[in-house]
Amino acid sequence: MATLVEAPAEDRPGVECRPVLFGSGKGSTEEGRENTAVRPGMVSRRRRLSIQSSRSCDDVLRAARLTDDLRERDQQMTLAADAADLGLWVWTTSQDAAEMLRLHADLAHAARVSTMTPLASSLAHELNQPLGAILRNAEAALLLLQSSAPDLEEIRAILADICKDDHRAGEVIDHMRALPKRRGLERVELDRWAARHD
Amino acid sequence: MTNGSSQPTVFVVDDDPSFRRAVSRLPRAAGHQVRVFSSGSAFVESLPAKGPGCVIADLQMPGLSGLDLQAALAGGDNPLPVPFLTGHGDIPTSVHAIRLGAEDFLTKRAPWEALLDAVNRALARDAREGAERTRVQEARGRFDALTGREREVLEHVLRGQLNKQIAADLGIHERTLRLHRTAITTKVGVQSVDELTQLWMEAFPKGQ
Repeated sequence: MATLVEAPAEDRPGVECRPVLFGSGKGSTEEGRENTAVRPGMVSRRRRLSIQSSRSCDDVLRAARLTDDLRERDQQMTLAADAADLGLWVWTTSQDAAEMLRLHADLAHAARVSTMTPLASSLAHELNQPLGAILRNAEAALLLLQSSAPDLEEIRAILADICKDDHRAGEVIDHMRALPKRRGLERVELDRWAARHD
Repeated sequence: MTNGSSQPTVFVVDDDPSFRRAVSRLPRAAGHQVRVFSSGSAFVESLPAKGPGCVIADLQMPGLSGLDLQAALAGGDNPLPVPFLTGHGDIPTSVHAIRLGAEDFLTKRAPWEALLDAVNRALARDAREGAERTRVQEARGRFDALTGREREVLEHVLRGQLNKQIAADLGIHERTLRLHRTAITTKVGVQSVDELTQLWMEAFPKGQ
């Protein structure tokens, strides 16, 4: 049903594309090539390296050959993950393409979740500060307004601070958005003297 | 709420400038006198040895952390109560802080009533404990006037010994001893041995 092949020459120069068939004979290489190619991605380099040291490319290819029925979801996941880790491409026949795409989406999601956990905790802290400040400021302003002669100058200062903290929270979110994009971050020329004092 | 003459001060210690300013506004709007500090060490350095108040401190600060700050306060002359503010209050940290005598433990976005309640509770506790500290210090001060010999006599008296025994123990005449005893009651300002014992217990609640 699905075919594993090594990544083509432009990805792994010098290695010939070696198709490996698994599943019941329907998905020949030629047929596979005509069908959807799913490029596995979103697996961190560190994980790829750790797996590469314990499992060889041949191990995975052998596993693929030995497995007759890969309709078992767990097996498919494992094989897809291993293949992705080894830089293999997964070729599927058209009826499998949707399923494989879904598996890869799951994999990518798992990778994102593992990246997100520490990020989320730091994000929570970075947002808690301005959000807390905004809340306390607004409450203080409301309290001040209860007085018969409210200190308008102080209330004006409070509102200015609320705006500033709102922008600060917005910047945190903008930075977060830019992180997952490869070319999302802006490159700016740094004045190294100014940077030293930043 | 206030104990004695001076108005209590609410100290706000937080390393984040805008959060610090925002938090300080709330007790100020509620009529408290407020002072702010950007770090635990800056606060500890300039803390007056006396004076009522409480400290709203951020638990997670670079340098001297909230718990360090509390420990430093507890070991000093003016152990002000500390309601803590925290971004995320996990259980081990809160248990640790409460064990060390933290007055309260609030998240940074706790309802403002809760924050002001915590401040008022802390100030009430400080007023109570401050009065107690003043009483102890005053009681101790009265014993400070005693000479070395009078102190020795006092220890024997507090043990409930009779004049004859004390005189023998210290190797002095009973009449001299009686003079010492009169000097003690006059200096300390009590009428009876009962009163003397009571004052001593107040000044030194647990032995010394």
